[in-house]
Amino acid sequence: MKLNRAYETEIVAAILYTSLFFVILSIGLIVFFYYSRKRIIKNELEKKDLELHFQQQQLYAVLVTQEEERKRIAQDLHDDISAKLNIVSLNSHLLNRPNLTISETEEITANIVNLTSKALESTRRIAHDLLPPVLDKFGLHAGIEELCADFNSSKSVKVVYENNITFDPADKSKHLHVFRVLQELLNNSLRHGLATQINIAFSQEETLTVCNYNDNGCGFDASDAQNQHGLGMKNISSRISFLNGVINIHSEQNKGVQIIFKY
Amino acid sequence: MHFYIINFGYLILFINCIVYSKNYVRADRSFKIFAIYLLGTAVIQFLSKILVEVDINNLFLSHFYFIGQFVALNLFFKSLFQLKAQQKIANYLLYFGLAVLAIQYVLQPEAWFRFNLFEIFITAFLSIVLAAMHLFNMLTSVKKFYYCTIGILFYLFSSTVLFIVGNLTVFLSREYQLLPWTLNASMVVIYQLFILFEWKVSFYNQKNNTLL
Repeated sequence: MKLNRAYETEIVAAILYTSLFFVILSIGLIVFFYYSRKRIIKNELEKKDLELHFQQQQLYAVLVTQEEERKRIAQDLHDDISAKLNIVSLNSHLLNRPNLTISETEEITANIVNLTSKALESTRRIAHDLLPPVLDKFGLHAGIEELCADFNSSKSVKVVYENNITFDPADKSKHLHVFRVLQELLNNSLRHGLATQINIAFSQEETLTVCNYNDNGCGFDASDAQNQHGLGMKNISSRISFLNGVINIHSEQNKGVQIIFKY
Repeated sequence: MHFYIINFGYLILFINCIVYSKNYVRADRSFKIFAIYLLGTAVIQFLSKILVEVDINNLFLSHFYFIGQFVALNLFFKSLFQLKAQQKIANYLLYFGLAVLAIQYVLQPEAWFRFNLFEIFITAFLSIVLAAMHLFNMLTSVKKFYYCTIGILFYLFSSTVLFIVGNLTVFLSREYQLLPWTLNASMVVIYQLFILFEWKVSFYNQKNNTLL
């Protein structure tokens, strides 16, 4: 049985158009996948670039801080200890001089004792600045308490520290980061914010430790990129990323600073 | 014209079989499955040619072709999937497709003697689903069998329609009878060219690299 001519032409046309439709459909699908892939890969690359840039900046911040710290230690050693030890050495040579009267000897000895104890005090202070022994021996809570007491003793600022949780001594390496972050924040509040009242509070939120920090200083414009990329802030953010934590900074001009970080 | 295109398709299929067999030994699972698929296709083409020569109806071979292609592509894509969930989906689709076809052949044994439209539809559709899944996976990862997958998608979309009208061609006059098959042969040529291109891009240099 064969079909009549007109009917046959219709069928052939239908076959051709249907196949053409499916060919175009498949090409459309393939082109769609091709461009989606290109776009997604491009986005991923941009994201990776940004991440890399951020990491480089963090590394740079770490290096600069390290250099600054070295410079400070060198200066402390030179100004405080070397100078004093120099005089001690000079005085010790004086003791070798013949014909010294007893009173002279006593004066020189007193000088030496005085200067050595001062040098000793300086060494202790430098070591304390590098790593507070309280933090090492008695943990983060005691470390922060001492830090606050140091700031309070300056009388220009009142620091209130509240803590409802106990820090796990096993997380000692984390605690150093937390301590440094707080140290940096306190320094910033005092130096740049000219704050007179600072509150620090720790609390527990499920498995996370949350730190609320706020001051009544002059604040800064948190949306300004320049404020976010200062050396201190970079240091804080790299420490927070070491802690696998997040930090949220809120501040406006003349309205103080509110900072929450969780880890 | 019709036979030139068909023969050209055979030629590229033959070349593909050779180049894909060459890399077979050192290749991974997906490559091996794909090479076996190509060889199977070539064997069915060869058998159907012989049956035509000795004047036996070769239409029953189409069922081996469709079901064989479905199983091979299913295993192929399954081996390319990294996610356990996707591998499971591939398994379910395979079992589902085979079960449904088995039921159909039990209920309608006569479907064996013509183009089984349901078989053509279900095998192509399920393979297209897997091909699209693989393309989707490749959106964010490295290209693996990218051109083959594109070729499979293109070929399944276009050839399925032509196979579905296969039974109709009997009623057409001589003038038009071969038209769908010429179109299909052209799709086969394009498909095989994609496969050859894949080999050139992904495996030809790889062989040189391993030699170095």
